[in-house]
Amino acid sequence: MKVLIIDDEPLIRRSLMRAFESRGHQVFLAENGLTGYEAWLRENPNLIFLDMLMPVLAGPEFLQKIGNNKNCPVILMSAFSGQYDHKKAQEMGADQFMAKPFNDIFAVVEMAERLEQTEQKISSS
Amino acid sequence: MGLHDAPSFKMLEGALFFILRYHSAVIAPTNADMAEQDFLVFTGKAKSLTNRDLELLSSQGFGVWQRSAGTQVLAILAILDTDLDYVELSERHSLFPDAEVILLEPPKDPKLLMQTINEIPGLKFASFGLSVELWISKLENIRTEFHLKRKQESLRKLATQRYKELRELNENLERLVEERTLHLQYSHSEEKKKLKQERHLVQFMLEMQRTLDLDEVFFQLRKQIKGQGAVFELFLVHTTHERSRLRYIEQGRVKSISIELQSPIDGDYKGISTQEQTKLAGLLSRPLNRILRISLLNGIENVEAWVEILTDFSEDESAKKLEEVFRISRLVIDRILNDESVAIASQRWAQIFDGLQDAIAIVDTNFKVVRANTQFYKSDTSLKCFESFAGRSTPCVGCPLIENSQSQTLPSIKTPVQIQVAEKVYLVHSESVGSSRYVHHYEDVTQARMLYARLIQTEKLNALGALAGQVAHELNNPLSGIRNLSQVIRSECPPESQIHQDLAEVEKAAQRCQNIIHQLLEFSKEESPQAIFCSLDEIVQRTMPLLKTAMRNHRVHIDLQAARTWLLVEPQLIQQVVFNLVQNACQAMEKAGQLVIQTRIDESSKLAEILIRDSGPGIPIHTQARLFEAFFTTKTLGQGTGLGLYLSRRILEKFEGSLSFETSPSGTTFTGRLPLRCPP
Repeated sequence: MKVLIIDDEPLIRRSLMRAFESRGHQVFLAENGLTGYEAWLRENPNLIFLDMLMPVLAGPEFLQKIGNNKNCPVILMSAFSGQYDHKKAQEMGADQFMAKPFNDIFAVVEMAERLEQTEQKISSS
Repeated sequence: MGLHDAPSFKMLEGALFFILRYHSAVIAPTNADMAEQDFLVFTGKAKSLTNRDLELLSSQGFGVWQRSAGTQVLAILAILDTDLDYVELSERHSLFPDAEVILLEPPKDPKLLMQTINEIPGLKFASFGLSVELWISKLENIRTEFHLKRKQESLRKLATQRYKELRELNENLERLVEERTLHLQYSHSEEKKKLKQERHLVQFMLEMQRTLDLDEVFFQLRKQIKGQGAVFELFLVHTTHERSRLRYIEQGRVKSISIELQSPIDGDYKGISTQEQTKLAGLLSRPLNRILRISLLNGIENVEAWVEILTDFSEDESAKKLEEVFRISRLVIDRILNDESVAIASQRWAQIFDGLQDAIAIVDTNFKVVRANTQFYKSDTSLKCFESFAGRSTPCVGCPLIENSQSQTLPSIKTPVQIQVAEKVYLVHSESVGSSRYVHHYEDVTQARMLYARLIQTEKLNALGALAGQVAHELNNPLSGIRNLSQVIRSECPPESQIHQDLAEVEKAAQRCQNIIHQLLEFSKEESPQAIFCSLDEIVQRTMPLLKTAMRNHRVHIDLQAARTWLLVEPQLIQQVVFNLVQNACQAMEKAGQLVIQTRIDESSKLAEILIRDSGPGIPIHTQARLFEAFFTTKTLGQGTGLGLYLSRRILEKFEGSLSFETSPSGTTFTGRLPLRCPP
């Protein structure tokens, strides 16, 4: 699948990219919400990893920008695990919430794959 | 003209002759010559005298005088021939009964003679002839005699009078002397009496000067005036703070009772109310005479003398007599009450001075302690201030005396100087009084300094905490990256290769970092006002399951006695504390040991306590001091963050509690305390 990773931390982008690529997925990177939006328009990914706090355009704003045109699952990431959780994520328009730091990067990859497959099933049925 | 030359004087028949002495007092003299002259008065036939006769008489010193009223007749010379002559004679004789009657010639008629002799006593006969000389000499004699007699008489009278005068004078003198003597005696006795009185008064004054309190004053005053004149008995009434006490003597001792407040004295003298009178009479078991109230002190405190007067005496009189005594008494009472209030004030000052929490000392420029309160003294008072207070042999560093003596002047207010004595820190405020004295006020600022340092520290830590949160969050991202990337790289390496091992270590390190950050973040979360009323027992119970693994090897004894009490805390944080303490306890016991978890209530201090006791080997001394330090841990690398106890204590302190421990080789007990709260 095509994965779009929107995060201002280079290491996060790289680690996620390497993990996903090692599993054979195609990865696109963006460092803020704006470039992420452009990438989303351009590449049309199957899954988006979205960070909360970013310069230029932050996570919630990105979701607003997409609005009802959202055509794939969005996984919200944040270091503040207390303030945000699944409910909050869904209120904002995302599908899932993941707290940073990721204990096991491959577990994250697997979870993303599962989510995308479920999504596919839903959209195809 | 002498007698010899005197012409013959013819005797006329029936002539009466008078010799008169002119009395100056009776008849006003027309001239001075007539004053002492003797006069002859001729009457009857002898009235008509020749000039010659007149001359003759005048030459002998006899004047002839016609009137005869009020004059003295010395002699009546008579020649009686007829009865008519006799009648005239007796007439004249009755007029001048003192005059000598001399018959110049006896009457021829014997009957007439006899009559004359009978009627006129002391009749004399002139047996001389008709010779004028003889006649005149006889008259001379009579006159001389008469004058002599007269002189004698007047002398006698004078003598008598003088004598009388003398006697009178004497009497007067005697009387004067007597008076004088009496007067002297009287004044002498008066003087004596006055002197005695004065002496008495002086003695009274001396006694009064020696008195120390109102009882003694009363005793002396009463001794002085009782029995004097009107005074039958004396009482002393003292009023302060709306209370009156009456002093009286019973069996020679001063006693006092409480009485009702009397109305103030109106004018100067006033009696007492009848009920008070009855009360007093009852107290003394005898009827009371009139009471005279005299004010001795009037002000915040009142003192009155109540003088019981016998009925015969007037109030005003009695009061006047006692005025001197009362004047002295007023002075003494004023002095005594002043002394009392001064003593009380002085005592109060001393109490305050000694009761002050801070040490205060008055020192001179030689560091010698002049006066200090009890807080200051630890030992001998004769030592210098640094010896006695600071236990030093030299002045304290920074002593204001040194600092300020070097400034040449003596400013009155100096900047307070900090000195250290043992573990305490004092701020010495030094103020000069007089020319060579200083008052030192030692303000114990140890606590303040400590708190201040703590506060700085807390603020630093708070700032740090906030920063830590930020930093932690910032660190999370790269750490996560590091970890995750390591995982990815590892997955692409052969498992036995060095790189694989290396990366494993990298990942562990990153993990460790994340643990620390996680703990930090947990604690320094934003002020979430999630403190709720909860029960300590409940928190403990909820934490127990999490500790099953840790506690599995040990005998656990749980005793929860804090039920039905409430704390106002964030339960998850308290859980963290319990978790941390129990974990520590378990880790302290290498082999199977005993773990006691206890909760209880301290009623007096309104605290809930949780005690966690292990049977481990105890905490070594050098560790104890650093136990609660952040990042201090005795565990091997990777086993502990060193934040557990630090955070546990901070959490408890956040909710106004505390964390302490006791340790011995047989075990350690950690005691956490939290204030009990009442839910609304």
